Amino acid sequence: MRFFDKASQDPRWAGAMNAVALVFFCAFVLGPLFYIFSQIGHFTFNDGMRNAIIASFSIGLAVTLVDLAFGIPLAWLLAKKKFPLKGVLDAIVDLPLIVPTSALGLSITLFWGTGGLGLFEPGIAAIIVLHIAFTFSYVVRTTQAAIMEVDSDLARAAGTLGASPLTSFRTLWLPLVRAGALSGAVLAFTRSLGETGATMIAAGTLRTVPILTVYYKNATPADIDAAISLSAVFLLLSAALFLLVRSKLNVKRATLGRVYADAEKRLSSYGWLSDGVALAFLLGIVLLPSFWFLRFTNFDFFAARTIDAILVSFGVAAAATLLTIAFGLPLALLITDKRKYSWLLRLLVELGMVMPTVTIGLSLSLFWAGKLDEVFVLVFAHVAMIYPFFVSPVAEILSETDENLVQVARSLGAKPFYAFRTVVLPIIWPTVIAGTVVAFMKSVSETGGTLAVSKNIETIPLLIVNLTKNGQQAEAASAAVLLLAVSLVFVMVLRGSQRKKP
Amino acid sequence: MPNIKVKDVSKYFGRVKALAHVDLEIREGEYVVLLGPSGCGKTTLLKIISGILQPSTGTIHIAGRDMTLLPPEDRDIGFLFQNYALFPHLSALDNAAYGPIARGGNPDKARRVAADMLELVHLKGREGALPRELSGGMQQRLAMARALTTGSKLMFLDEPTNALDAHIRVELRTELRRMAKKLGLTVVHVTHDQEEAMALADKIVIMKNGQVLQVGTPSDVYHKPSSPFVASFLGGANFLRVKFTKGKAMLLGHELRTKLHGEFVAVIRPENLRFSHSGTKVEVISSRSYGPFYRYDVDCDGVRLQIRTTHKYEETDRITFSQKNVLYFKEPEEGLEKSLGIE
Repeated sequence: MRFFDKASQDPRWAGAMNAVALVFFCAFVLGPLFYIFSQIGHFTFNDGMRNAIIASFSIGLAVTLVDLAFGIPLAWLLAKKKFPLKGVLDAIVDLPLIVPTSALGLSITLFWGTGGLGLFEPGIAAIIVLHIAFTFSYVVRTTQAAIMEVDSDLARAAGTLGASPLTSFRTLWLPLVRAGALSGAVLAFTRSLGETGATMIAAGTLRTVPILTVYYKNATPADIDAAISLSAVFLLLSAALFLLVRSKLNVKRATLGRVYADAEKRLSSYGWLSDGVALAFLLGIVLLPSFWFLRFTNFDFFAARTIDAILVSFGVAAAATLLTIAFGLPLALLITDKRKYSWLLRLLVELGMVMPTVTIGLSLSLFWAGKLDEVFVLVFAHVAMIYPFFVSPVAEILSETDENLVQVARSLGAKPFYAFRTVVLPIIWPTVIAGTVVAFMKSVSETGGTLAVSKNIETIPLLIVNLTKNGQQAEAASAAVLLLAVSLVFVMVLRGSQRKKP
Repeated sequence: MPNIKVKDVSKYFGRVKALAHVDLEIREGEYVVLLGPSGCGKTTLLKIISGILQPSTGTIHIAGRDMTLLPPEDRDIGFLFQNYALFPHLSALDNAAYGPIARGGNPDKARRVAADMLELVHLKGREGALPRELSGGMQQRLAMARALTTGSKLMFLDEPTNALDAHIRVELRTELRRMAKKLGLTVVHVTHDQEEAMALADKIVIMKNGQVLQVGTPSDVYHKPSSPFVASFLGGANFLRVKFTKGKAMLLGHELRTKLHGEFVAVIRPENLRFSHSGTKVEVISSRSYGPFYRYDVDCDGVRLQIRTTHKYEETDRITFSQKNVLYFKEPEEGLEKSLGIE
């Protein structure tokens, strides 16, 4: 450490680190991601593609609206109210995120279909409830964080000025947490647009953009031009929408409209109703369907094929996550360095979130075709997919950290690297761990992109998809149980180290 | 008619007792200052009177009505928060208009009232500014304007000048009192700054450890403190132990004559000690000029004394005092040092 502390005074050291981070980003993330567009032979566009795009955006919009409608009240409940078992409730909100998406797809179609309520079969409704299950916690978590950041004296002030609870919620909280809720909504929307693996299970005959892309890729003969054209149009549309919403996020000014004081006061006393509905939504629509597959297990959790797949999945995820941390942290630092082009860098990182995973997989398999062993391609594909989910939050927390702290450390004689590891790292540590958890879990449960890359390797989500295709639901459910158990242990270990700062 | 009666109010936070059996009466149009060291319960009391907190036991009557359990939005009050709690996403005008609009008023009309109020607090021209674009003093005045636009005659101020520069603080004090009297407000103002309390109050309420120690006019509490703690918190004091036998005792070379008997704590304010050619010999340890007056630390036979005088210390090294300026207290039960300490 001493050696690095001292070496960090040499400006060439920082330059070299930036260069390595940039080269890695371009060669292993950005390049392979966009390689696909250089492979186009001729552009095609047909009605099927148009319908798929309309279906994808409609589903994304519906999912996001439902997430917001039920997520904001739930976030409010978690952030502001005290009640028994709140800690438990707070912990289980993200549970659907650790269910591999393919198992989630299976579980939810079973719950709503013949394996459960029998309300609807695979189709657009199934896709919507499926996407809600894995996007709901994004909206809840970002809104909850935004609510907790608001000075609670503001609500007290509104109270002393005569505002009823509903009035102050409407005129204060909503505008103040808007940015937070919307950033969660953007995340939910893009995830809904890009999800491939689970959607395939829930879609029935409906074709969303990722599903149509898989179809073109698997068609005989493969229609790669159509797949690329569709991906290009879709990426452009999603990116444009993403940019538009982001530019609207930071409007910091609002005006007061009319307040219907009596009605709002009367409605305020029905707060328990909104709490109840939000809770019922979480338990009945999000959690219960997500874990419905547990009913179908045959209790053969340790089948040899499952163990092999688990080992492969965790090996790939560990390698991909370590690479992401090693090269993502310097890039996050570079992004927040207030350089001229850092906004562009940030945008390029975040574009990876908008891309459908199947497109990423396709692009990477084309990029690395014949150059690397399949397992390495798989690792790099996962790096490309999880990279933004680690870099983006770390860059965010870095930009919020007070620069003076580093200046103070330097003025007290700390070398740059020493200042980084003793001052900056402890501050951003919880976010680094949170980003690591998200990245790792995404890698473990990723289905769509892996499907596009792997030919002989079977990760556990692929195993679940394959078993489901063969009608072996019990085996698939058992595999999902093992994955869930191992993931839970892993997440708990990581969360534990979130509190222990270095 | 704001006329506040606090009856036997106690407040617990978990097992911590923040207020113990507080009784207090505030008359209409009075400017009352709750004064005490931090943690004495003064802000808790303010929040209970205004309805932001509810007492564990006891009652609050405002204008003859029991308002103990009424939420703040139904009490018709104005509250100025320590950090102002201005709404960051609303313009100065909308901040000021918030009260009338939140009560269902016509937004245009509310904004006209708010504009007048901004003019009253010298913020004309800054109507469109967001709170973060205003200076500390302007933010304080905006918070005041916002509390006033509701038309409430009852105003609660929680350390309103805390976040301000020293010279702006003095200016705003004058402004606060002028406005309160002009608009006929009943004000309850919390501070830990004794100078601010003296400058503003019709009535000072001195608190410590969740209890009210003394209530009175600034002059009352200064000249007739009820305990050594009040004397030391308000203005500072020298403490000397004396023992009377048949009304007689020796203090700093003076023979005291009273009707007391036994051991007492004598309190002499720093400004009541002066240098003179007769009196007790002292050794000057330090001296500072504060401009209009001087401050000396002297040692008198091992006892440390503070002296505040408008005359510079010259040749003489003797001090004297007038007997009528000495206050006597029984030794407090918990001991003098402990009673002066702030927990």
